[in-house]
Amino acid sequence: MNELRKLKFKDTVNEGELVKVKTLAEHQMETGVRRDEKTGVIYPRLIIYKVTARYNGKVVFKANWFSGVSANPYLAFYFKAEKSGLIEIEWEDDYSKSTFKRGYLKVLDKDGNEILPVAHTL
Amino acid sequence: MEMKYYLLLTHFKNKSKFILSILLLSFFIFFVKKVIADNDSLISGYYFAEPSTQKIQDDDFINPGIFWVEQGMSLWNKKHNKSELSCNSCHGSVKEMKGVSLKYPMVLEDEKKLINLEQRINICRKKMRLDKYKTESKELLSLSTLISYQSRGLKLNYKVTEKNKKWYDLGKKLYYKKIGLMGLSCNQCHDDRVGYNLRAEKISQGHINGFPSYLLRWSKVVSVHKRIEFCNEQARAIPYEINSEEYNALQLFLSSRGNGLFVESPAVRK
Repeated sequence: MNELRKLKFKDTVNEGELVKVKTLAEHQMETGVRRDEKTGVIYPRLIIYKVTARYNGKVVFKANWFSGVSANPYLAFYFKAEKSGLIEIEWEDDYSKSTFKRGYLKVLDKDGNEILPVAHTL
Repeated sequence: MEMKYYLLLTHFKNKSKFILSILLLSFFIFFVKKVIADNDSLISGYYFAEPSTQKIQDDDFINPGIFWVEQGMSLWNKKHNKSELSCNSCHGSVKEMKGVSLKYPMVLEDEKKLINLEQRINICRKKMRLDKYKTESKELLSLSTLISYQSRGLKLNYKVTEKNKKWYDLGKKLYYKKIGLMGLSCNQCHDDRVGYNLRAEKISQGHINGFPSYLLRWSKVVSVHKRIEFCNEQARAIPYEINSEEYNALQLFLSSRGNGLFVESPAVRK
């Protein structure tokens, strides 16, 4: 079965508002100190050791995790959004296996128009 | 400095206001007392958990038990190579399974055997000519969690009839039986010492309305039988096997004991 990832935030925010981004990852987070009860063999460590959050390709949040983090870890953080854009969360495994989850955030100015990430003129 | 209670009267210039407030207060106290008395007999394990644990259960986004529901959802619609059958092709949408989990453990009449939901899923697998799921495997539990999740919010109403009276008596006998090195029975903790501390934890009434539930100690979803097995190990007794007749009978007794509670699965417990 594939491991699931979850990502949640407000759909639309005003300019300069703090956005709360909530994430949840399904992962066993094997610490590397547990033994098999019968054979005594140590289970190898397998954790998510790095979480990176990018907004429009720019890193806004980064966390390095060690073996003390619980299984199925929940992470929430705030950041300030000036323009609309793409939120991308990357979970990096001990085998350098990355999983991604993406979402689009809409930022409105005072008049209620969307502020696009790239300025364009006709 | 002593408080002069008679001075309180002078604050109420209007006498009718004062009488009205006294009346309201007495009514309020009466209703609160009644509500407490009603709930006194049955309290869900949710109220014995710490506030931080309760918060995890309240929010479906944070609750890791929902992962099992979602995995079960993909298994429900998955077609298997051999028989071209899925759960969906016989039972239809999952939403039609509302209230099904309340009927278990159920008596199989032809074999005169008591089975629980997990065993029923494996019987279904046999009909589909597929391998059985292992006990306590993730696939099995995600399907049973999915089915129990459909009846979330319904009230437990397990009926004891003539058919399952035999197992009800066995379950009741097991509930009051003293076991293990310390000679403990279930009712000594879960009836007589409810609310007291057992090391760092509050003793609950031992209802099973939240199962299969996500246990933080193992960081996975477990069935009722696994939890009872752990309880027996804590009392230093030799546990029965999972899916054995004794545990099914005990599950039957416990679910009829908690009649009136709301189903919370997948609940979050310590």
